Amino acid sequence: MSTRDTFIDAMGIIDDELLTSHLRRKCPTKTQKIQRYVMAAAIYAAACLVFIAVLPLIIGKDKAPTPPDLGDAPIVIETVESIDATETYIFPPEPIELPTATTVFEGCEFTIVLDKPNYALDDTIHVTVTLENKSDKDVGLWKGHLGHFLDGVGFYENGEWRWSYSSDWDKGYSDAIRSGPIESGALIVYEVEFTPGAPNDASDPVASMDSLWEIRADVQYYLNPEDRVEYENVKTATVTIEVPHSGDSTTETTPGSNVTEIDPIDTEDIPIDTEDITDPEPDVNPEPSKIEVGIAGKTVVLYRGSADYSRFMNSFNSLEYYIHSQAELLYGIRGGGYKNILNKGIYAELVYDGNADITLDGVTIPKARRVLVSLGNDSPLVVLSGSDDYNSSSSLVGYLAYDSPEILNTVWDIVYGNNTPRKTVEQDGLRYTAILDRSSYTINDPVRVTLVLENKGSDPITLRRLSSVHFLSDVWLCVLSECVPRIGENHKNPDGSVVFETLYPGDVISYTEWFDVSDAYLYSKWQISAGFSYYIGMIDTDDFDNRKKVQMNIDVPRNMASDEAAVYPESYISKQTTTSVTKTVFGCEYTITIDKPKYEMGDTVKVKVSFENKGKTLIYLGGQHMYDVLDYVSFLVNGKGTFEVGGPPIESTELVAPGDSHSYTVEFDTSEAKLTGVWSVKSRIEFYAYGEKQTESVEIEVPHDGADPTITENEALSAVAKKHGVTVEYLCEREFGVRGADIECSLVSKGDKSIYRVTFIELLTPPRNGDNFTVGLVETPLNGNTTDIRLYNGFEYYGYRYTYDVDATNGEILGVNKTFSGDVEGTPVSADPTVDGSVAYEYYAFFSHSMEFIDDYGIMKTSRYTKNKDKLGDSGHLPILEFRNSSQFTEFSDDIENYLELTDKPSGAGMHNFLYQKERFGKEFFDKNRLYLVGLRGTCSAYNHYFNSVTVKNGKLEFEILTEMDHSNSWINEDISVYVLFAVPKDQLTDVTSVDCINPYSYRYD
Amino acid sequence: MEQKEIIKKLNDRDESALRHIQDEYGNLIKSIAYNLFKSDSVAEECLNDTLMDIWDTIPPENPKSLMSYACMIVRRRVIDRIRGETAKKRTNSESAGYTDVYDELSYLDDISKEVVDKMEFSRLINEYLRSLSRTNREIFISRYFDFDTIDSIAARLHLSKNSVNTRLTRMKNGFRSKLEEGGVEV
Repeated sequence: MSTRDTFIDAMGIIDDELLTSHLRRKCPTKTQKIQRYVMAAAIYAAACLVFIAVLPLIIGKDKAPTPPDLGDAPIVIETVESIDATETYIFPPEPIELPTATTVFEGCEFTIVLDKPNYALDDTIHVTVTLENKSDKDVGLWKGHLGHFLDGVGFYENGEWRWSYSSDWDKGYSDAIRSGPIESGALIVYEVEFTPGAPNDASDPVASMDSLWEIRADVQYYLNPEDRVEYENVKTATVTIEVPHSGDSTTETTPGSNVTEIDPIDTEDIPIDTEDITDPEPDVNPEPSKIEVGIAGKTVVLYRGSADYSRFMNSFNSLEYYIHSQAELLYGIRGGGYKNILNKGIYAELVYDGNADITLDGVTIPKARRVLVSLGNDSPLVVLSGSDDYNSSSSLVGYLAYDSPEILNTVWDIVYGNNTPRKTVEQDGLRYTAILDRSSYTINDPVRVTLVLENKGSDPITLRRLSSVHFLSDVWLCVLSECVPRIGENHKNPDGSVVFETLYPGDVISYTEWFDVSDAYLYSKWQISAGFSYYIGMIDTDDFDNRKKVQMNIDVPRNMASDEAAVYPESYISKQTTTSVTKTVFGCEYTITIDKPKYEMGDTVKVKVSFENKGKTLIYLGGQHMYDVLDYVSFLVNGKGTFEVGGPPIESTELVAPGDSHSYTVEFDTSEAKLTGVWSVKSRIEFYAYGEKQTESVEIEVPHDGADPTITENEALSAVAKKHGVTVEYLCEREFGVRGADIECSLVSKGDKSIYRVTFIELLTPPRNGDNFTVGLVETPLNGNTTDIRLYNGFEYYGYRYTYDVDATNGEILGVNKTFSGDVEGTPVSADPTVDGSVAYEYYAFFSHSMEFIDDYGIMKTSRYTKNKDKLGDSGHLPILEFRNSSQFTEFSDDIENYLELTDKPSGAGMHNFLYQKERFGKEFFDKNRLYLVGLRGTCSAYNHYFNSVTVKNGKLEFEILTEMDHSNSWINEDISVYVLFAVPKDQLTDVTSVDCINPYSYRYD
Repeated sequence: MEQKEIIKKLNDRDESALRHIQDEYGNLIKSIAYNLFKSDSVAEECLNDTLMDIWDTIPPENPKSLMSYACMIVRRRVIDRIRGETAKKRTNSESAGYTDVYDELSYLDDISKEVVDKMEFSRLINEYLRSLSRTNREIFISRYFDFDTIDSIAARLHLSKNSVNTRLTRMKNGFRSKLEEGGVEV
């Protein structure tokens, strides 16, 4: 739900008091209506009674004078007996011409008549509004409220509405649209009152005697009363009358009393130039017959009826509100001042007058640009760059100058100042121009861009847009450090429907969008992207195959000088010790530190990288990778990277504000390093400062004592090969045959001596009974991935790992380290049958993929079943299988093969492995050992199986199965069964029928 | 019939209360519905829904003003309906009154909805409304509660359309200031 939805919902729960008050005004209850009408009727009745009471007096006074004939008409003397005849003779008053105004529409006369020729401030203006249908047909009247059809009567001051009639605020507003006809010949009369010196709302000021007073009445009508009334068809007729008033509020002006003293149209007393404001048809055709428009010193005359005239007026009218308020503010012209000016004819000169702070209406707009729109010679209006109408100004000039790019550019210069950035893209005869309104921006300056689209080609172009938006409103401002482009302030959300508009050759449209950048970072690059879709020719439906698009990017220059951080000098080394180097970058200290003054080969170099912002500007570290913005650190030998941390640049960010710091530590193991030159560690960062991407690095040497060798690597290998009585080639071949080129010869340091360290494995023959060979307890995950493969292969790896150190200066063998190697790890167990708890056994693993999995926790069940081999095999789990008759090789192998064939159908690598192993057993082996095949099932992705504590106690084989949940491998989806073959010397077992599994439920979760 | 009597009837579960509500406020309820959605049938339907809601909620509710209560219900009913149709990508000209106002409020979308919730909004709106002159308050509520058109507001208050527009623009700015005073960044 959007915020405006929330607002709309919130409006639905406004205070009951406020809502009730509003609704009562809008729609009184029937009781209230009755009360109101009864009251009005009572007042009316009382007024009638008073009128009847005074009627004789009125008649007496206004009666036509009778020639004095004292003798014949004494009765008359009685009526004036207390008055001197010569003084009391009242000449018949001159006929008073009451102010009247009439508008005719559809044969109806719509008239306002005032009750006096002139008014003082405290006078009450009695207004009679009449509507007479003088046509021969009925006309429909429309009103939206309970009042009279003609009650849209208001008092206007300088063209601006001030009050409605009397105090009819509570005149109800009905729900239903009301309509009714005024029949041919019918007359409607409606009367209201205004008192300019006593406004209805006490908070409103009284009318000014220096202003133009007007009464204006509206009637809304429609032509066919029999039709259903649609508001769109309702028209409005207006009649306006000026209210003559005297500047002297004390003047008494009663009709019929001394009327000769009153000049009803004493224009000298009216400050308003009546020539200007008295339009014989004020609302019929208020536009001048021609407009002279000055643009950049060139005058263009536009005649009413021309397309340019219409364009101008459309643009001009969009300035209406602004001009309205400006006129009021600057020149004291209230209300329809601009209308009056229009009626004089327009001379509009668009002038750019500088770049200064302007305070208007209590609001200061810093460095506002303004356009002077001269309406006539003496009334320039100011359109500020902070106003909505500034956009209209540029549109206005755009309309008029589209013929001439030269003029257009000059106009842009006027409107925006010289040298504002602009960019034009031309495509298919369309000229698409983006113009910024300033040459550079601070975050306090709204970024305004005016987009002008001109069809300079010969074909019509159909523009496409989503409705509710302008055709050129697909405009975004992107700040480089932000992920989401900014939406302009002028933008409206489209409703999704598609609208087309044809842009004919010569047509031009423009649109101004503006962006609030007050929360943007000045150091980040700003760019405006604008574009629109169109078709060549005229179409009315989407044709995606032929839709074309124009896209344009324009950089928004930023005023860096506005950043108090000023401009920093280029980066420089500011501090340096034996263990650290600091570089100052844009006021920030970028430091790399190592933990020791000197290292030996194999030492770990701890490197700390820190970035401390001691400057005044925000720094935006970025462009590194997802872990840390500082961890792009390399270990270099002779300037070349040997190993490094940090990945490729993928968006990751860290904002380092002034005063903040950021650090990262990384370690390098130097045992893999070469000792042939200078070691160093180097950190590299990318960051944004002032909108530009910057790259910096800081590097420090890692001191070491290693010296360059004097013998070659091959000579070192030769020394080792000689020791074994083989050639170098043989030594390597043996390795190659099994593991590939894994024989290693590294130059390392040892103290202050350089040595070659040669490491390789000498393989052993497969283990056979009687060999002086010990096998460690295998503790290798059997989870089906490459680690398991290695286990199988690991059988081949059984051997010894030799590590020779060869003096790199003379080839002397300094020492050798020999360890059992291969993939068998753990503590070797001596096969001494005399020692209880020690057992020689062979441990093999076979595994097979593609087996049906039973359940997630099969391993636990399997373990449980192993406690009693008589019950093994329940639930389909693999039992421990003892090969009692395994003294014969064939029987053994057949048994296993048969078993596996019958149960789990080992396939692939698993079966291959088994068959391969079978070949490696000899009869002798089986004679001396008893074999146990233990099968486990599980999900390779979830479990690692460990056989632990394999031993013989009291003549029984005991082992513990540990099952480890290995979530790290959870992506592997293969099921697996694991078969482990134990070969236990027979003479160590007294009970061959019992196998105990210790702690069968043992497992652990990571 | 007085509101008290109607509410008493509702409390007594006397269905004649609904007829009285319809007599007293029916046209008003329909007019609000019609403002939002220019359909007689929908207005009629919403009137019935509103009566049903009133019947269902009073008691336990005991509104101070039954008229306001009814108006709030029907307004919510119609808005829900329009939103439902909008969610189904059904747009039609009948809801243009709502759409116009909705578009007019687009400036509010700059405010993150997490920043200000409905109750906070309502509090700020109430405060703002109380600070307005009576005329402006009428315009504001007419536009944003009743969804009245500019024309009808102008006609009812005897203002020019320009004047209504200008006042609304000023109130929009004023409301923004009010929000900012309330700690909401606009």
